[in-house]
Amino acid sequence: MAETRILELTGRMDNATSASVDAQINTALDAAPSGLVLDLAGLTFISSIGLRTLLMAAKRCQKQNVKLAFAVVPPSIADLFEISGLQSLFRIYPDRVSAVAAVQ
Amino acid sequence: MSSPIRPVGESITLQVLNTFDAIAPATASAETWLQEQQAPADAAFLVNLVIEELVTNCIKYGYDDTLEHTIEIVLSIAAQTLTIAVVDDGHAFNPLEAPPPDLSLAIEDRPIGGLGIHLLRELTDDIVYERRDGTNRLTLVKHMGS
Repeated sequence: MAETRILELTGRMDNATSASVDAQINTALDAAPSGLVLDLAGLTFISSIGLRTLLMAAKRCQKQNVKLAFAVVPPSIADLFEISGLQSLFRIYPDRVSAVAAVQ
Repeated sequence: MSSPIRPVGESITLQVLNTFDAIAPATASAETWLQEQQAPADAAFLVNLVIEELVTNCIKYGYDDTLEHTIEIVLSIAAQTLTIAVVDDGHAFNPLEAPPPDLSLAIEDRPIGGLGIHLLRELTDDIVYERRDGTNRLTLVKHMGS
């Protein structure tokens, strides 16, 4: 059984940081896990480039048949997910345990 | 002769150079000022997003030369209303003319782009673009506490 990867995204996801987050997500996906959990508990800010990075990650997960779940999305970030229509595309869980359970 | 404009309420003007390194200090100054004004957290998030989206966009696409430019950001609060004006001397560009993204598409069909101005439209009560004296001026208005 391939395992589940968990990544914690903290601080800001903006023009300055999104490329490195993208690289870390891609590294995690290169290992062909069965599931990926993105824990956003420590994320304080996200801009359109950060949202695009998460959308691209979701696209790659779908292509690779990796189950993707988000854990602990702060309210201000959840608002932007909703406004950008990502809420309906992402599976979001209130805590890490339930997010991990969902991708297993 | 035009009459002088007297700002009502409090305001701050930030001069931001067209370099990515200038974004973080500008954001920090804006946050400090908003705290002094006891503005709500969602106002701070909005100002963060405005600076990040518009200054980044301006640096990447706004200029036809490689010279130093200054982007001016004016924040003002009066009668529970936050007004953010962003003024740059780049080539004429009206971001409000961009078509809204199609949010009904399935994940694999979503285009990667066009989101920034959509977010700002959704989070504000009014946005106005003007081309004036060789500058682009985008004014965003947000009623706070509503």
